[in-house]
Amino acid sequence: MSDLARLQRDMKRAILGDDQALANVDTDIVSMGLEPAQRMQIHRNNYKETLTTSLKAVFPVVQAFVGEAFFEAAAKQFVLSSPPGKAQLVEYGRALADFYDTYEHAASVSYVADLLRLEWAVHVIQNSDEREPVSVIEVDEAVSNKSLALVPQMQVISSDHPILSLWMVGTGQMPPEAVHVEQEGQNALVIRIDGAVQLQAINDVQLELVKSFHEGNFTGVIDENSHHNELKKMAERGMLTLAA
Amino acid sequence: MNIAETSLRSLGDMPVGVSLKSQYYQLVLEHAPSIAFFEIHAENYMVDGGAHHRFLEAIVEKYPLSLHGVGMSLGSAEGISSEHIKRFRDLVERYNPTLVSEHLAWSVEGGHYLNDLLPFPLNQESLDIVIDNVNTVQDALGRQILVENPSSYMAFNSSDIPEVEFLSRMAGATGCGLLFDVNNVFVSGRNMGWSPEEYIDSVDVDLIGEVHLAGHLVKDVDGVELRIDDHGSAISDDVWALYERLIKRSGDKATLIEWDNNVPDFDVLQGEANKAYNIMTDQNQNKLKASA
Repeated sequence: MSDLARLQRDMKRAILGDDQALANVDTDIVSMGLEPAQRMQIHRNNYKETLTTSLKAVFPVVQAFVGEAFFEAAAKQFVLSSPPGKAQLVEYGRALADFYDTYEHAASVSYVADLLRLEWAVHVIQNSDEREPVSVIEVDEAVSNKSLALVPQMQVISSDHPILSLWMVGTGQMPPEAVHVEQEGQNALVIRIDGAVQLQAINDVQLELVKSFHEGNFTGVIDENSHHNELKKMAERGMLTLAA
Repeated sequence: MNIAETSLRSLGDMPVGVSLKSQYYQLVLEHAPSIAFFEIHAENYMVDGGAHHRFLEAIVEKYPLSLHGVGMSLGSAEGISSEHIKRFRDLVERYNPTLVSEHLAWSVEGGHYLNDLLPFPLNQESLDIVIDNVNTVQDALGRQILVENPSSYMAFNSSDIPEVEFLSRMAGATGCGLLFDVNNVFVSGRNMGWSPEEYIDSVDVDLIGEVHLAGHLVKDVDGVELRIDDHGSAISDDVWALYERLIKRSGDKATLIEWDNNVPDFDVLQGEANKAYNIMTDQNQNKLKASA
């Protein structure tokens, strides 16, 4: 390992909170009035602040639910355990929901993880590629040609919690007293139409059809006649396109 | 061909640009402000679709673009991510920017991105690594890039090449140009205890393809003054004085007003851009008077 590779490994570990690595780089850094650890602290702070600020921008609705202080504390712990795997901040935050699944301080608000998944889907769909949806009258022919596909500007989120209702509370469209977290689960369709991201309810049949498309199980999708009607309803909603 | 001349010809009579933030999209398209070019951070546009691309496509029909990367990690011992280069190249091909730049810094280790412009020792080992990495990027893009001098908060015991010499040798070995950030010179000089004026006077101005100007923050850390390059305020008088000193040596240079945090009304950036323009105009007039 080169000297530079060793230094960069230790600096990264120090930035991610490893105090032994911080001690390792101590002799590499010139003091000049401030201790090396104080100089490293600038970069430790930069890392935490930049990523926490980015997460706050991606998840404003969840932040409104749990409060800024709670969100920040969780985010700072998350960024130390899950550093980004890509340079673009816009792709950082997908794993925050999984982190909340096991975050001890969020145990009493178990719905938050799914709310994070929903908000991440909104974020992704805002920046996704877009394809022209197929019209309803084209569905039968597309089914026989096996050329139907999901548009890239949509995702579905299935939850054991009433995430659509909770979303409406978080965005001020519904008063908090109108929703009980113990209500039955909801499936959400996140779709971009005419440049604006919309959240809609989606039934279990359409949810299963979406899963079949994702699994490449197109034969299963068209086997039952009843699915043709559901596919037409999905086309009406702008969920389907012709495969490239 | 001289790098600076190439850029200036493409950017017209007033080669001063500003950062393009999403808050300005509508204003730029509706009012077409008098700005030579806009600069974007490449990583913010590494998405497949959405509003950012729609606005940028409309804006580049009217203005030249500078594509400024913050995540290439030219100083990484492990080399450059081929996936990141591909995404960067896709943007270059899509928008055909007039200027393309990156930083003398590292941010990647073991496949993890630390989203910071981290420093490294300046010595023969790191110079060889940076040269390899710059060559890799330029080969992949099929064009020259500009590399920005860093703002520093720490120095290393194993550094034995002065920063200006490091930049010059890197440019000589790779054919890259310099993105000369005057605020970074001031911030680093104050933090590291060397003279920003000497730095300005010693840089090879022919290598400079673009200049950056930005504001910075002054912090007190346990009684020690520290300058932080936060791009969140107006350019300081000290930095304007250094810019004037540079332009006196170099002549006109494509100049960008950077403002990434506490983003103000566009008029504020326009005012800073006008100031840079006036400095270049005054220097040109002084030269004319001197030669008359």
